[in-house]
Amino acid sequence: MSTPSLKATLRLESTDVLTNSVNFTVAATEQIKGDKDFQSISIPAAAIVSAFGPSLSADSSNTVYFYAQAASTNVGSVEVWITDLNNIQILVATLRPADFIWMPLAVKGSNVTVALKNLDVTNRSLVNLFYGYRG
Amino acid sequence: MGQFNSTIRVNTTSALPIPINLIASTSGTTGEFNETGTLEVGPFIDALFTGVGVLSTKQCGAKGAYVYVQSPSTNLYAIKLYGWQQIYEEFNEETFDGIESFATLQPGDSILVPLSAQQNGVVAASTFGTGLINYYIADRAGEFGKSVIAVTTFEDSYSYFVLDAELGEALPSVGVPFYSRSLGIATSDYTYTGYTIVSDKGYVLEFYRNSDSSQRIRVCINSRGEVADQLNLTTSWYFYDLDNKGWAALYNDGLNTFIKYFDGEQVYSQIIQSDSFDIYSDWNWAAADGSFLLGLDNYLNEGIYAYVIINKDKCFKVCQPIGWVDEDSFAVNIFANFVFLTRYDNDNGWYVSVEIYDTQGNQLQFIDLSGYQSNDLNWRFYGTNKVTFILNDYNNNYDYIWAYNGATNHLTSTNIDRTSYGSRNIYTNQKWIEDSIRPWNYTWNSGQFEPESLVLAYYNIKNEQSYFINIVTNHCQFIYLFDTDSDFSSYQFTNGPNKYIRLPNDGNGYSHEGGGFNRFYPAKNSFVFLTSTSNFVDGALTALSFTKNGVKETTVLSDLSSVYNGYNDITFKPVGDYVMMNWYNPYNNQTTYTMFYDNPTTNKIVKDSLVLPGEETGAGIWRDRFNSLLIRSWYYSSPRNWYFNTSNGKFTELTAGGNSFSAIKPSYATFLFNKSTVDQGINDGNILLSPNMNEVIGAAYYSDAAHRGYNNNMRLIKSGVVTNNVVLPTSLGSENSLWLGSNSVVYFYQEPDRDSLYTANVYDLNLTLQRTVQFTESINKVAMIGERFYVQTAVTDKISKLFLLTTTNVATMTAFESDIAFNDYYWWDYLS
Repeated sequence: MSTPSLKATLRLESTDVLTNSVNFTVAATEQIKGDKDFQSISIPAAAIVSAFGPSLSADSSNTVYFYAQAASTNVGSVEVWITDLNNIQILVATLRPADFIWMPLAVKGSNVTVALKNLDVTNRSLVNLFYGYRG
Repeated sequence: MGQFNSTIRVNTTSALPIPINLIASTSGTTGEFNETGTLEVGPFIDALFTGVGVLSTKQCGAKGAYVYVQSPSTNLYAIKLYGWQQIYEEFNEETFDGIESFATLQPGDSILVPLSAQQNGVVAASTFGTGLINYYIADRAGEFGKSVIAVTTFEDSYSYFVLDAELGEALPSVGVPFYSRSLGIATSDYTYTGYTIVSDKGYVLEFYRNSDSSQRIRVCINSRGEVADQLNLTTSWYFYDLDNKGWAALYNDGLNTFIKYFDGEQVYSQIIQSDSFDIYSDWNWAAADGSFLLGLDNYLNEGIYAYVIINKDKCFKVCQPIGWVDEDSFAVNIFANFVFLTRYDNDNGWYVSVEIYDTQGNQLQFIDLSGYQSNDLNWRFYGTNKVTFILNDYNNNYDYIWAYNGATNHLTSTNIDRTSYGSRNIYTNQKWIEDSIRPWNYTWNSGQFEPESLVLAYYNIKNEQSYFINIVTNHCQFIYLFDTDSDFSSYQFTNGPNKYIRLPNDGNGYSHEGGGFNRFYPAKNSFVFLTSTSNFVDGALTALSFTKNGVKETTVLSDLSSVYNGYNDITFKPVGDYVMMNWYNPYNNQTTYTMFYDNPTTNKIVKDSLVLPGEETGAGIWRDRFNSLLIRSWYYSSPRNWYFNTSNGKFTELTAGGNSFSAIKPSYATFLFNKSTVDQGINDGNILLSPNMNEVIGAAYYSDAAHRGYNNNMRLIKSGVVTNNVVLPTSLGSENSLWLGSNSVVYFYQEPDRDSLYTANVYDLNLTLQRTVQFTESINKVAMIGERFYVQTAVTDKISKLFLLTTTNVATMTAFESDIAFNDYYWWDYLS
């Protein structure tokens, strides 16, 4: 099997809201190669689950592109937490239903993890995940 | 407002064990701002002390923002991103070692991240030297403040929490399911007495000291759940709930007046030199922006009594008594941002001026009355932002009329020689502040039309008939002003010959309660009088319709004697843009409903009638909201329902699946109006129908044991347009209720196969199911409060879970036994 290759394209557009720049459109493309993961995680109510990591010192790249999308059918929100190389926990974002995040993770070294916390204390929340080492 | 869209596409370009071809999009209405551009950023220390690298200084709404940042590939070093709130907190604690970036962008990297409200912004900084970033930040629509608050005792002191329905989480902490903030007020020292809600945003918590009840504490909590201020008041302060537009505490020590004002977000303070104060509230307590009126004796030690406007932390003197100010006329209206007063010459005994000010104390209009030498002056607020003054100059028998529109700062005037007109009726309607904040508007007929017009009837009575309503007149002229008209219009109904017309007593012109026959409602674009060619007993009955297109006469009945037997009457009232007429004919035992509409395109009066068998009149038969009219006939073996379809101008019977909609279980009431749905004094035009529910409690239907298990239905009429029929799930449990909110409908029911499982189906106002939430604990309370549906479940005797359900969010948290309130719902006792 050939080396897996992924292409992710981010497109951001807003056609009618800008006051300082009309019809603002940005597109960015990243080529991602190497390791991969893609899955859906169903997080129990009020639970915390691991979504990535821990990264290893032997990882092949300094950067991992991480993508997470909260299902639009979710009832509550999901938090995205990072534990960095210094073992410090950082709340990166709160994903409301249908929200997504697209971000690079600096994983040079080891023990970088991403955890998802379901703020819904009654219902499970579904999150689609994808990450890949930057080529 | 606008639309913000972002899309991400992830797909494989070669084989993977799991095929990937994913497109995800997010979109949403943006809030108050969006910003884009390129920033040159420096080291983190620059951002810390100079703000360089802060993407936006704006405060995003409850739903936060979306942020996109790109580090161009031409950068030499990495860019780090930080949450501004964390920097702020560390800065306050003077310890910077805990500040961590949440992302590092290598040259060429980009990030798209949703920003929660609590993160409070993003700061970009270079890791070395300087670098560029391209960025875009869009605020997401959503305001703080749709919240529930509770005060409880925890570890011997009072605590509170705020749960925000828009944000979906507990404030001010993020993601902590059990949260409370201690006020540091010991329960052994102080007694908690209750809340005041402020501007549908904040709260004032009230305490007094047990050992000395004159010592009060007022804790002002803003819409973010933060303590805006805690007032420790050791003297005899007076507290004022300013019609929910604000809250004020005042105290005078004989030398100064001390003022604390809370607008729901911030507490403002000022001290004004004066011996005493009076607060004026003859019309309303506050203007639309929360400004309120005081009289201050020995103002600034100048020996005068000054009339002032208190606007947050500013005081504007608008008048001091040169002559005499009629204190009843020093007035504000909560739908307007102006103040008026009338000045009286006490020595000569006549009015000398009317003065209108904005809430900054600037004079907007001055009406000189000194030349008329009259003490007969009427004034009335009406509609939104409008006021009229009518001066009778009895020296020459003229009326002089002014109307002021605060929205345009336009003052217009006219006059009339009253020699032939002995009588005058003034027809205006004032919007009612209760509509927006009191719970009973769902049953009363308030807010069904826009009372923006002014009508004056001048006439000479030849003969009064029943109840001073039907009169014979030989001189009758109308002077009127529609909504945004810049000048008065007039219409001469008769100028000599006797004619018959119904002129309700103007004393009822204030009323917002419909259904009576002696009411009159000048609506925004039309008003109608009834006239008779004879004596209101026989001859033709005619509608005299006034619109912006002119005045028209439309025959309603060709022979009144065919329907009138001396006691029955005709109901006439506006329903939004329409006018409904309803009468019973005892001779053929039929009831007729007619809807009139002045078509601005065809310039013709459009009408459609529904004739029903039997006497089907009264409020139990028809229900109306703005542009929505529902009629139910009990005459048939299975009651039938009709609504007036505003899309085609026809009465239409409501059916479901080919069967009469109400025939499924016809014995129950089928009307439901919601609370908290009145905006600017006008209701939302929504009527929910559900035939199997029998009891209206608050904004809900309940079904009793005898009627559980049916596949119940519901339909919603929205300003005369009806949704499709929706079949509700079957429930066999005791909890089974249907609720109509301001933007959702919730069916709350017990699952038939599990006694301990409860389900809330949340529908939007198209009756499309948006979400289903299930509850496995016993239910303490459910209620619809405006935009959110409230569920309280019991964890233990002392601990409960609170849920706020909206079409887009579920907010939840755990709480001790506590006192619950909602910041836009006055009667919180009902829910505690």
